[in-house]
Amino acid sequence: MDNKGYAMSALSFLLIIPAVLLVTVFVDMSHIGGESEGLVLKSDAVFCTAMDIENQIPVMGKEVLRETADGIVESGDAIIDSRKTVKNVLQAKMCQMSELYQNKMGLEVNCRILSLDSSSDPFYVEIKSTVYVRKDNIVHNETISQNISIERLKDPLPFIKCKNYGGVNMTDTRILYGSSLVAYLNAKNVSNAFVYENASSPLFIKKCPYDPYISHGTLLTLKNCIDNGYFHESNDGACFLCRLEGKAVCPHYGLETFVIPSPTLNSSLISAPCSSDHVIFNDSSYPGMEIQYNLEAGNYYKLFLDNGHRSKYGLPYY
Amino acid sequence: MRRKEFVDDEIALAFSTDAMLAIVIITVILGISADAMDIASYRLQDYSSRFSLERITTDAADILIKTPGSPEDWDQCYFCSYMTPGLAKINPTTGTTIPNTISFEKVTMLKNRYSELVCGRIIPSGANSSMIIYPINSTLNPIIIRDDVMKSDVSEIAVSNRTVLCDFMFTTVVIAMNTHGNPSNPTENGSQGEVCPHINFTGNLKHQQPDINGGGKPGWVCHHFKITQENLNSTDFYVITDPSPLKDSSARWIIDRTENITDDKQRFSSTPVIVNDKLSQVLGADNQAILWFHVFTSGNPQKLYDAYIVGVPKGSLIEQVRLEYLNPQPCFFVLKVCF
Repeated sequence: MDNKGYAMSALSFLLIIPAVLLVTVFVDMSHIGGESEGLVLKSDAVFCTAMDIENQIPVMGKEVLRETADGIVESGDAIIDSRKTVKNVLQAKMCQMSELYQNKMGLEVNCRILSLDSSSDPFYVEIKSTVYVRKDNIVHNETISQNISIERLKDPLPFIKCKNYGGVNMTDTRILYGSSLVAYLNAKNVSNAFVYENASSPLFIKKCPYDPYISHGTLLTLKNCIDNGYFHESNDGACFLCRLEGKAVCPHYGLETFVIPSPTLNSSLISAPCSSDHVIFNDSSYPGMEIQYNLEAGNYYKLFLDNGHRSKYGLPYY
Repeated sequence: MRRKEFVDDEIALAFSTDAMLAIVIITVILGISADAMDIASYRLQDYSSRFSLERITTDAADILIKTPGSPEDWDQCYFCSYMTPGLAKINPTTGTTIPNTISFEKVTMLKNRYSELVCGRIIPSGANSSMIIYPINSTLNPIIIRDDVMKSDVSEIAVSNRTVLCDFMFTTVVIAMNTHGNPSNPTENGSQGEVCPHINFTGNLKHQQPDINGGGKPGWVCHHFKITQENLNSTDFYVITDPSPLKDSSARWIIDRTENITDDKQRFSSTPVIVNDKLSQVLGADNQAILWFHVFTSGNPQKLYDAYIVGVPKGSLIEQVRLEYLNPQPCFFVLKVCF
């Protein structure tokens, strides 16, 4: 220190300036490095949580659809506005899950189900949702569309339609109508409804592998399709969500399966309500002419189809 | 230092020694700073170009490994105009992606249509690339999806190396008796829930399901599968069993279709049996068909077995058709991209 009260000389001051600048730069750089490391960690946590939520939507969605279908099978009561009902239940489940993430990881999580509707493939239901995850200033916001398979879910339609006509029973794989389907058809004044005494239809929705459908023109293929209880794509048949509402037909691209009359000893050719489920369960059914697809121990196994369905499945016109 | 002394130096020196020393140090510091700035600017430019290539490579690897592609069954979509490739395997039951597992069928299809599906879509046009799956098990050959020659004068090269699970054979159809309990009980999800076209036939053609738990009643377990002419052209199909050789001497198999039911029973062999000729014969002139694989068991719980029809790329050695390869094998998925 000089004797004029200066702490340092001008020269020392000049030397210190760049040193101070350099130190400042180093401090700033290390701060930025630490900050970006923190950002990466936060970003990973946000992204992984968003992925987890996204992966859970189809799993939860299928669970909700299964529970809804099983509930209808149990009670026989259709639900009103299935799209809204299922969406709300799924929304509630996703909210619970979001809350879990929020509490455990300190993230702001919001999964909003935008819509739940039929997909272009009737064996799928489409869910649109927005997943929002935020941690401080890191935000992941994504709108996604996912398809859920409805295969292996129970077909709720017969349980709704036959509830007031004696109900139906089920085995491991099939729905057994007993006399309820005849009573249902008689109530609609349909002729030759008796052929559906002890009829049956598949319990679970399974996609028919015999595609294109005209290959059903080989009667053994048709028989195998019936034996396995496969479902087919249909412009007229109701989609799965409309089936939950008890509708046999709907404007969406839907499904159909065959309701199989019990075998008879009578070989005479007759006309009866068309065996496609959307025709039988529609308010106005139309007749089909019988097709004998199997003969076993003197029993004739028949199906009744109109020319429209015969054309679809490659079967001869009557 | 006083100003008067600095200006009016009587020894004819412009600076004092201290001042000169200070200026030298400051000049050195400024020089170093300028050089550092120059280096930083060059590195920034270099980094942005490097980062861009690395990002492309990482994202391409992510897209391929983590997504099944769009549409999800793009590998079976021969005439789709808009599709994005992805190799992730889909769980057929839940419809969700199986994490870090890639589908052998999709790998095979990507290999055949690499230029069309990858170049210019997920890797920029003009970039050379190499995509190879190296199994950790050294007895398996690497799957080379694409291997462009990397020139020695490339300016940048980025490599993405991921550990994945990959099938080295794809299972066309599985008849699992040994692991799935009693096949005579059709279950909701079990593969034995299917009714075969031979059911309710009479004579030799009749197939009855076995009853393994209820006293070892013999019978047939059957499953359908789809075959196309394209499959036959690109894949070798084999019938194999687990265990091999079988303890059940009465074990037999049949492949047929509803349009052509047969009773042509074949014995299983201790080595894989190639069945392309058989499949081709059953498929006939049709472009695609649903075929049935029927397997006979004595029903003896001690002699149960699983039977498979598996596919491997056309021309694979029979040594590569091994039971252990039915399970996905750990592999390194290596993607190299260079400009």
